[in-house]
Amino acid sequence: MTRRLSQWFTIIPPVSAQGMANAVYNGEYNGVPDPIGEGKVGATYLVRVLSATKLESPNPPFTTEEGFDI
Amino acid sequence: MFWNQTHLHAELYKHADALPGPVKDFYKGTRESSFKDNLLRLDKGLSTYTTHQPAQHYFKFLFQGICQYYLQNPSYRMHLEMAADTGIYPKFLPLLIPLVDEQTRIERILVVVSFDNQINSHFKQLCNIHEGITVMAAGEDFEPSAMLKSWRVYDQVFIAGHGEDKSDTYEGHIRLGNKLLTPGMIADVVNAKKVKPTVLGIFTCGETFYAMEPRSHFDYFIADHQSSVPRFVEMFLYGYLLTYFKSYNVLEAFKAGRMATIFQAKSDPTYQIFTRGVKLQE
Repeated sequence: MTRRLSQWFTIIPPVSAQGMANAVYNGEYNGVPDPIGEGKVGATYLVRVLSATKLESPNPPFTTEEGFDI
Repeated sequence: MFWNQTHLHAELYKHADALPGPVKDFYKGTRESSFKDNLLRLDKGLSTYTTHQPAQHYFKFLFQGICQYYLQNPSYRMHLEMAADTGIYPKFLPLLIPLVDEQTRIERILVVVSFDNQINSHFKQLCNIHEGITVMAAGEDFEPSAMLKSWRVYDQVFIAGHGEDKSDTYEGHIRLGNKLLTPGMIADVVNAKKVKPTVLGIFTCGETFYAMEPRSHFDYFIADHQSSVPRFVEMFLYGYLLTYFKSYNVLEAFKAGRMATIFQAKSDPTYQIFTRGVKLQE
């Protein structure tokens, strides 16, 4: 799993007790494109929600992490 | 050599299908090698790359030019001019700047990095750019407060690591080894009127440092905004440091640092530069 900011995704409820949820990769946030750009825009991925702003995305296609503390 | 176009990365990667194979390979090789090692591999790959597609021909010369600039090879100009001579994609045609003769100045720059051992080792290679650069990996015994007391011996300080964004109840931090550096610790130093570096750069996720009040106390303050990718930070610092020790111009170095991320970033990483707290570039 690859740690990413959840701003690049739209999480689709429900979120399981383990934090798993489906999420659509948007590839941008407020008009700012995701510089990493891995994943397919509009595709749905199974992610693990870490907090209100962070998640873990599947590897592959997401391989490059962002530098935050959990 | 640098464009003034804001969204250059994104514009260029719209042509991703036309990029030569070695450039695509560079994008895939994310962690195995340092930025400079990847540049050397890319330069070698492009020198033997052949194609009959005009667009790929253009991007071959363009990336050879950019690559050789960051390898400090004066032939970068020739390749950029060859790209221009193809006559395609004129919006990408670079504006050449003359190479500035190296000046003799004694300046010291400190880079403190706190990622995993592999990424730290890539950052440590930045000290090979110039003898005035010191790169330190923050280990278990690293004390951020001690660094703030002694950082006055450096003209510029750059700090990169994992961080935590601010919230309504927490000011946020960047993790250096096992310890945390917070905006409040930096505020204490500047409010005490202690001597400090003229340039400070902090690279971590979130807006903790990007938005901190003490940024107005530095001649130049550089930070990334919201998202921070260690790989891109290494590339930024490589371009910044290399160009700074050629030009001794912070703004030129900043532009070169942003440009250096073009080998992998699919849009402009949101690095910002402030002078005495005033943002200089969108």
